[in-house]
Amino acid sequence: MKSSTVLTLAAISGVPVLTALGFALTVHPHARDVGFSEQGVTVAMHLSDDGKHLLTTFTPQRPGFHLYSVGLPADGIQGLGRPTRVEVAGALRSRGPLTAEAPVRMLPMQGTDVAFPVYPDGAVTTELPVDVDSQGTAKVLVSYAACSPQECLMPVTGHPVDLTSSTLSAMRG
Amino acid sequence: MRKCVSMVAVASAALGLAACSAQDRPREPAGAAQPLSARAASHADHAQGAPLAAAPAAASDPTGHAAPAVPAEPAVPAASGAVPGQSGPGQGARHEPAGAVVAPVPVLIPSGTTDVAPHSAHHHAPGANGAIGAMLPAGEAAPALVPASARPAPPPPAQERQAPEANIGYDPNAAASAQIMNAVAAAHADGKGVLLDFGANWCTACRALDKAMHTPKVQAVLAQSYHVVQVDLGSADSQHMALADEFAAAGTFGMPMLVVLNPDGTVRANSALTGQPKYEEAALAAWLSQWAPR
Repeated sequence: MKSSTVLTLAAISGVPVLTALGFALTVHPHARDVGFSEQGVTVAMHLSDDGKHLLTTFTPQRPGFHLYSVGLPADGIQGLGRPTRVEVAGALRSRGPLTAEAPVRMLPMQGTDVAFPVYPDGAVTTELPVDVDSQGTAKVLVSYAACSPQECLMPVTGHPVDLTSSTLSAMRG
Repeated sequence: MRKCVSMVAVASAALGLAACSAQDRPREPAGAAQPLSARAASHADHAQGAPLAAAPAAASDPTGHAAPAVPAEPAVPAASGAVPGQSGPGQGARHEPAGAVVAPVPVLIPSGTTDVAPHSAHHHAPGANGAIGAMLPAGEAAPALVPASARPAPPPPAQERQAPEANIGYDPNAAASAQIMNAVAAAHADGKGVLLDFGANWCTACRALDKAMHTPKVQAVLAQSYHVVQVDLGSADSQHMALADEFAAAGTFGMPMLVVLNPDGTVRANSALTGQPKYEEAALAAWLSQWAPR
């Protein structure tokens, strides 16, 4: 859904426009973003201002596509679905579990009584608490799969993003 | 669609006609991390990974999975139908952390404003007991490719809740090229079409299709008009991916991808171009009937 459409619907429905504007802004690139695009999803990551969190935004490029919850088991439910993952190594060290800012919704699968924890269609941002070494390089491994009710794009598993110390510094601003 | 489709070559081989060879596709180049400068590139551009790629996997295949370079499958398989050198699942060198297995269970994760990842990850190794693959050894006579009447009835929902169904029929070990060649040969003989179902056992949409495929109306259409071949894309098998790439550009198609071939092996319909049918009995039966050669 386009931002303008979101704003129009928000205005019509009485939802505060500023709230909708905030939603729309979440899909905009951050000046310090580093990332890639693969299998229909743009991945952009940067460090929080205090350098304590790695924020990664996953944006499906086609409407109607969602990502699976970071809480989904690695092998999915009954073998179905693939979780969203962000893992770090090297100069980035994880201090806690990966979380997501978006609410999880349970998506029922056609023809069954099974439901899957997915994020709302569109962009979702995950947050990983990290420690950053001032020296050295880091590697971030990104995994996800984007699906709509009608189709799934190929999963991306452990896509590496190599970050030099200068890149890490730039990501923090 | 490529003008010289190697699938036609496969079909031609089955029919004893001249074949054309598949074209090699450039692989995604490696690169250094760099800031994102744009986000609004087209889907096709993004799928190639070039404009915004920060650090693509070395020697990654079109799916984004890192994998060792594997020679492309010959456009024309051996006359015996066997596919030499077909790799099994899990042979690709994926950049994936190891971890403990998390037992698959029905919905246990409550909705909320925030969710938490498990502490470990585990590489998924798809099963290898796909229905069609199990029924159809490489090189077997083509009629065995017709799964309509041989498919078991789907288990009741209660059973499904209790017993995980890790496999819905896409066999990562199947000799897909040989199966397709045999199916086209059978189609040439009986005038039916060939339905190619590209998908993966982890794919929720593929499961929905599978459910619809087992409904009575759809089974009737399949038995009447099609030889069905399911091609697994879940294990990033380079040969299976190469088959899929014949019908849609790598990175641009979703699963399941349904392709209908005429009895002569030419493409009659492709869901990547026509759009996906709805995965419910009447709609899927109508879609299949619409594209059936007879």
